[in-house]
Amino acid sequence: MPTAKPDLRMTPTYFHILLSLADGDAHGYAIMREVEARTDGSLVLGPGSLYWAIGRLEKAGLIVESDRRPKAEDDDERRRYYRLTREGRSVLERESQVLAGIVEHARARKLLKPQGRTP
Amino acid sequence: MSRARVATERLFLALTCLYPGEFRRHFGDQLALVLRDTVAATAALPRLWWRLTRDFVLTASRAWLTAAAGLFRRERPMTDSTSASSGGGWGADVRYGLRGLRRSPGFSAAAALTLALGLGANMALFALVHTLILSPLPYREPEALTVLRGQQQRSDWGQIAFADFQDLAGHTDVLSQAAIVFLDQGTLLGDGPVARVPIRYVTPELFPMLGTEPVVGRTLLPEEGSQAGYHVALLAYGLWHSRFGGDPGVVGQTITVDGESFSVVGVLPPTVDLGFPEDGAALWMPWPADLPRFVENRTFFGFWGLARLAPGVTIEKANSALATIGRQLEAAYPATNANRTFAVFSLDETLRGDLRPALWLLLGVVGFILLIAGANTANLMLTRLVSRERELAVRTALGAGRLRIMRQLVIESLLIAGIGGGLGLGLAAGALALLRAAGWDPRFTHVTLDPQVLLFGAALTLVTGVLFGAAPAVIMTRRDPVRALRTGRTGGGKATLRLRGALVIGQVGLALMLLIGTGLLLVSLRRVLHVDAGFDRSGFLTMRLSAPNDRYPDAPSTIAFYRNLLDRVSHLPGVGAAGVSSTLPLEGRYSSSWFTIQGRALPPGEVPPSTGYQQVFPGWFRLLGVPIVAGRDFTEADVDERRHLTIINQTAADAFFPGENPVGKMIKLGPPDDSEPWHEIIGVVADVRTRGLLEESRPESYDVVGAHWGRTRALAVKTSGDPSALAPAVLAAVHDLDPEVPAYNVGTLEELVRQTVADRERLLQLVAGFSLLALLLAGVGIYGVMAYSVSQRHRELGIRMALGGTPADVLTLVLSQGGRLVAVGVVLGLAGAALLSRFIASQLFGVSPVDPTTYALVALALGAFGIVACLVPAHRAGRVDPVTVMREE
Repeated sequence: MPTAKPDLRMTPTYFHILLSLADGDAHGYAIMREVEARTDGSLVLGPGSLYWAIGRLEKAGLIVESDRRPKAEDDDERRRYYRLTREGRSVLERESQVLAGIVEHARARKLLKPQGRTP
Repeated sequence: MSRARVATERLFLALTCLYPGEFRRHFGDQLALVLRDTVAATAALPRLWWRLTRDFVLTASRAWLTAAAGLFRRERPMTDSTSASSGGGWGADVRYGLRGLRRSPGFSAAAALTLALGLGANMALFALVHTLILSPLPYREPEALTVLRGQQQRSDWGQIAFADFQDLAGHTDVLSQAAIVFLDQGTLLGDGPVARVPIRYVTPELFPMLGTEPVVGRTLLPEEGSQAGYHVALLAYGLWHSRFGGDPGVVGQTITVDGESFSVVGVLPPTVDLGFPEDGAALWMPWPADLPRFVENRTFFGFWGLARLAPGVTIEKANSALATIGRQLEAAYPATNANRTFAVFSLDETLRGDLRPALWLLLGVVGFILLIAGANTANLMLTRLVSRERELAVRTALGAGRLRIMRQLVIESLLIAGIGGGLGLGLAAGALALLRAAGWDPRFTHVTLDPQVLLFGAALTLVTGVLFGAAPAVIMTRRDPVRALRTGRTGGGKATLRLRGALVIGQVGLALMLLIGTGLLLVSLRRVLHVDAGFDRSGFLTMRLSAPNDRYPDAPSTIAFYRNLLDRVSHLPGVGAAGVSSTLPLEGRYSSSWFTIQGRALPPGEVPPSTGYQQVFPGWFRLLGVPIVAGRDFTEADVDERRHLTIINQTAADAFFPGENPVGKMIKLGPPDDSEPWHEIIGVVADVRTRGLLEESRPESYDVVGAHWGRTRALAVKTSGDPSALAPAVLAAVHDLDPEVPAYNVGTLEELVRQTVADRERLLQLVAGFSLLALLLAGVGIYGVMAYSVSQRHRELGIRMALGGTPADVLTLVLSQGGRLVAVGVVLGLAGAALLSRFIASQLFGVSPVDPTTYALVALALGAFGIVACLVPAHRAGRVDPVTVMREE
């Protein structure tokens, strides 16, 4: 594992971008849309903050530009695709474990309401 | 894609040039692609702007901070003595900067306070714009919430009938949820005084539809809306606090409204504000669907409709579906629903659309204030820099790099801007608190300095600091330090003086534009207030009274109460006359009804025209000075005989009886087959503007009390003195007659008139306040530059005097120099005002946005003010003593 990586503090933005790439490669706008949909619009990335975060994740070695292209009919050759590196995946797994642990604690304290309330 | 979108895309694409080069080179093309996608995919333009602007500010500041940190880390080690001793880091520069600011407290305070005014005004306004325009309504998926309205024969879009509502709400493929609101009032008994409170009857679907959770207890249950008999009530947040002290234990308690008991089941959050008057002080009760009077009723348009669009349905799609449903109802119920259509309107637009033009205008105004304040700060910075020129030259000579000096200057200006921003934040918080306390608009109570506003404030502070502090500093450091050392003279040279001149011209121009805006609003307000509304408005005390049902069960008892009251009140000292009616002019209450004329057949498929409708006691028209133009007025005998008599206004006479004499005609208020008896028209009165000073008159009909009656009435009392001074005596008379009759909305007719122009007045006050601030700042700017220029030309002026120039010559010289700057500013300001005038046009009445008189008067006034600001420095110049000057050399 390379050692001289810039230190990266995990923020919700980074986490959601990594999570969007867990299923497969994606380009910037697709990441943006998925993050927005997954968070019900509570985390909206603008173009600048999206690529700012992508740049940081790239520098930290968690994602790289992907040379695999999607099926020809879906492909837009101007777009740059990104994929998770092995390290990125392990960081994502570790971070998810931490979050899951926190959620368990919250559940144990009955802080979570059951979903799907009927009026 | 619309032109606005194309322009938006281009603008933000251009802004990416402001990102650091490395970031731009790496991601520029991808940014452009995603920007285009975002512009295409975001529906609401204001939201798109907000989103992209926030993104740009955040990213640019982050990117530049990182880039700057890297840049300064790479710089060679400092040999500069001041910071070398403390390590040469950022901390040292900040400490050095703070020390410098402490050394010249006058300069620091002036610069920071000036910026605080500009930044504070902008933060406060942005908080308003952010909460009231940019952020979504505080409901679940608010963009799908709409107001459901009906319209018949192209009348105004308005309330709907209950049976129609139920048919519309049944189409869940168009409107996934729908609810109605019925506005009423009730008399609340309990601890404390008898109070009249607004009541909102709603169908229980309302709260799940809005996604509203109660603060305490529950909202309404579905069964409470299906049948009558549930005596339950919800408290609005404001009522809960004002009447029940915010006690959560109120749930389960019983309250008495109009003699009946209701159980309090919950408290609503303060966010429930549907734009009806006093929503926050109301009782919310279930409207049962099975009331016999309303189940099949398609002619009583008393219900406000609200609906949530089904997923994927736009307002346009919903409206074409509603038009189809309307036609089906028309076919099914031709007698009532002929030509009736339905439509939905955005709730957001309905609730806050009216604020938008004024808020955008004010945001522009405070933007100007910031520019003027910034110009003053830039001037101060330049003056201070000039006095520090030697210090900087020495530091350069000792080996501090230009970058190092710049960094020092940038930090100093950012420190000043930061202090200004902090003070500004305090000012903004104070201004918002004042605004809330003033009670101008209930919507303002939700406005706070939330994190997004703070972010905006920080970004604005940063930009201001760089633009007005650092930029002048950078210009200055371009100069050759060696020359400054060698000559030992400071002065900044011609370039600086030109920059200062330009700043003054800009300030004068901006201030002039604001003052012209104030002038135009002032003229408009005067024009509106002098509109002839058709009634006498001076010297009236007004209030509403409500005779309780249990004590006044029928017409004779109620009429007797009001007659007794009129008798008592009109014998009070100072009272000229008094009258009672269902409505006061401009009170904002109107009922309307169909107007059927006996013996006149309607064309097939048409319903009768509609008319406003009021009930009055005899003497009402005389009291308000409204002339009877045909026929006769009501008499006391008409009341006693309980005759069905009507007086109509001139507009109704012209509209319904063109070329005929309406007096003696028989009409009824309602559809032709209504059981209502025929009324005889006995007179025609002149028009009164009941709905607003600028509203065109509409048909109105007035019934005499007797056959028709009601318990809740308006009382107007005419006095030759101060009407509000009469209030205690009149209230005492009401109380003496019956202590259980609540009197409320006590005020004067003048106040009602003023209330209708309150929005105009407030906008004028705000713009006027800001313009005066602008004038003051510009005055300080002119004074500062001229004083500085005089001090710089000290030697020259001294020599002129020594060579025989008189003080008057010198005075003229300085005045003409200042006068030129002011004149150029005025000319540019006039042109700018004319260019921008269309942005204020929607707020004006009866005056052109390029009104020559206003422009000329304001330009003259500002010109005179500018000359006065030059007078002190000019006077000082005239007193330069040539001998002292020569000796200094």
